[in-house]
Amino acid sequence: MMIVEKAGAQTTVQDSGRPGYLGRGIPPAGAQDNLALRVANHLVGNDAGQPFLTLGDPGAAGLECLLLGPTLRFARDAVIALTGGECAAKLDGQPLPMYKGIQVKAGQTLAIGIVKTGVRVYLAVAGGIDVPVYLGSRATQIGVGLGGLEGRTLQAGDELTCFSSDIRAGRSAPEELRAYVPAEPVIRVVMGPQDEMFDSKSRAAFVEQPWDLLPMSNRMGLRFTGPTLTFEPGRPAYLDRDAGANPSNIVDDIIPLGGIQTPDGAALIVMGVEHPTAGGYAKIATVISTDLSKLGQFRPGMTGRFQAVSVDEAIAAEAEIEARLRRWAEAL
Amino acid sequence: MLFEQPLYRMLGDSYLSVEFADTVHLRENFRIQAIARALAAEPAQGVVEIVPHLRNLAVVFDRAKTTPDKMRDFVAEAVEHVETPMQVESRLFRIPVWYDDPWSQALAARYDVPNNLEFLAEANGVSRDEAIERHSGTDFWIAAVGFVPGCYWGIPLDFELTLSAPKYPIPRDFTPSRILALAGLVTTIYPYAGPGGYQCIGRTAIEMYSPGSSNPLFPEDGILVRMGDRHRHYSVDPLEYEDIRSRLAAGQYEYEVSTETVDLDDYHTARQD
Repeated sequence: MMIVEKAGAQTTVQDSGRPGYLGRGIPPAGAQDNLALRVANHLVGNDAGQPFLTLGDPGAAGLECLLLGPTLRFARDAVIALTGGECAAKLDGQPLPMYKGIQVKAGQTLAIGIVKTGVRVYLAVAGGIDVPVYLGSRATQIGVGLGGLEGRTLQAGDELTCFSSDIRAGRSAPEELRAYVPAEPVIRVVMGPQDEMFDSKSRAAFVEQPWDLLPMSNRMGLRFTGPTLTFEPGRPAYLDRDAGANPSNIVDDIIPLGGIQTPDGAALIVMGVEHPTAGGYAKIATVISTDLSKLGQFRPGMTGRFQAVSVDEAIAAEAEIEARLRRWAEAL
Repeated sequence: MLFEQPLYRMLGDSYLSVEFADTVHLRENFRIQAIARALAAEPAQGVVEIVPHLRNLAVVFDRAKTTPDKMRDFVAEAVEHVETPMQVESRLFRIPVWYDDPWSQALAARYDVPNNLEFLAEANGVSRDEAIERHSGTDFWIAAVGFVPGCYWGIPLDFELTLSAPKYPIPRDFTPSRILALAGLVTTIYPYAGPGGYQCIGRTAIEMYSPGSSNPLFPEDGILVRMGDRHRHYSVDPLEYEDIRSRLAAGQYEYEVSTETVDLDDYHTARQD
């Protein structure tokens, strides 16, 4: 069992999410950096969970810690691992390495502290955190208060029980599976569904110009500012009535995870794991599954670029990282 | 406008969408729901979810278990062969509404916009009372569920009674739960408190979202509404509203619902384009 002494900025119980309920308005939630949580789970011998929006068990639940991590006291021996953005975590005051399975003794205190690069640290505990399964997953959807621990972020005084495990500490993860937090990140996208609504100058600017991440970003959406995007003239007049007078308005349709909405052409909103499932703004492009994990480490103020790829390239990129993860996990 | 040919598009690498129109067409929504039922009845390998919506539907798929080409074949087969049904089984909910309620009035004041029901009436060239009569004089077809858990798109089945209004110029950061709201052709009820941009014209006394409810009308996800339901709103006064609230709290309120066959030809569904 872990006792929460300090809650941190926004600490939630997450697994790899709750696919299958988009038609009910329920987004998948789960770890925004899916890869980091799955690597953490492998390091402590847990069921790791699945890639975004795929079939199968969502794996063991761990903690997603945003910007300032929690301080936790362990009431029992445990094996833990920390992954994701870099932090200066300490166990009873002693610095802890990341991406390693670590033995914790009953009575010890883990202070995760400030996340220095990236924005999210993941803590996996051998056995996984025992909270109720809601619609097939233990993931927390903060915006609505679903799943996880009472649907909310952790508070001081919370007690988290874990399932048992007989795993030993000592596993470590290779560099190639560690979180992606470069200085000038590139996010790959598949253009569309509404890219043809934008004029050619704006379609070019979208992939050629840098974009800055704004602080108003969360698990629902990441907001970027950059060049103003403009639309092809000649929109049919009936859309003014049915969709709205702004040229960025469409009659509501399905918003995919990673879809990039452009209200008024004035900002980009990339849909995160708690996204609205449908809406009425043109979407210029959609982030590929593999790079949704990278977005989970984007820090406000960071400048990024978008690169257009084909659907085949997107699927190949995911297959490659999944093969790497599988090779490593099978050799453990 | 209806497209001559359905438009297939990939949304990223995990969703194949097929789009039928760039506006709302009731018959097309009947067709979308029928195709979605057919696809969900016999899902191909690798299908994660069939997501029907207003004017498009998407299949979400597992990239390691299938391919976009196979998904296209799977969807196209149903698109080509499923007939648009003229008659479907549908639940009809009667929904008690306190029109022009004090919470909606307070929101209008707080966001410095005119009384929303009066604004709606004026935008449609009718009186305030006629707006209520029209809104409560037609069944609404639940054409899609989503945006957030429990929200939905209700379209008037009698197009002659359509009321429409634009959204708020700047979206609200707060709307109380159970507010009945309208924008464009669409009516919805905010299932719980949260942001929103629709015109707020009333408040229902009943819960639309109730996770953990023991009432069998609420499935595990706590969401009352299903695609293909119908809603009929009726006006209640403050006393009746409070009476339903207290009966609901005491577990003594029964939701007013019946199931019957809906025939599209019984409604004025022809759109005045």
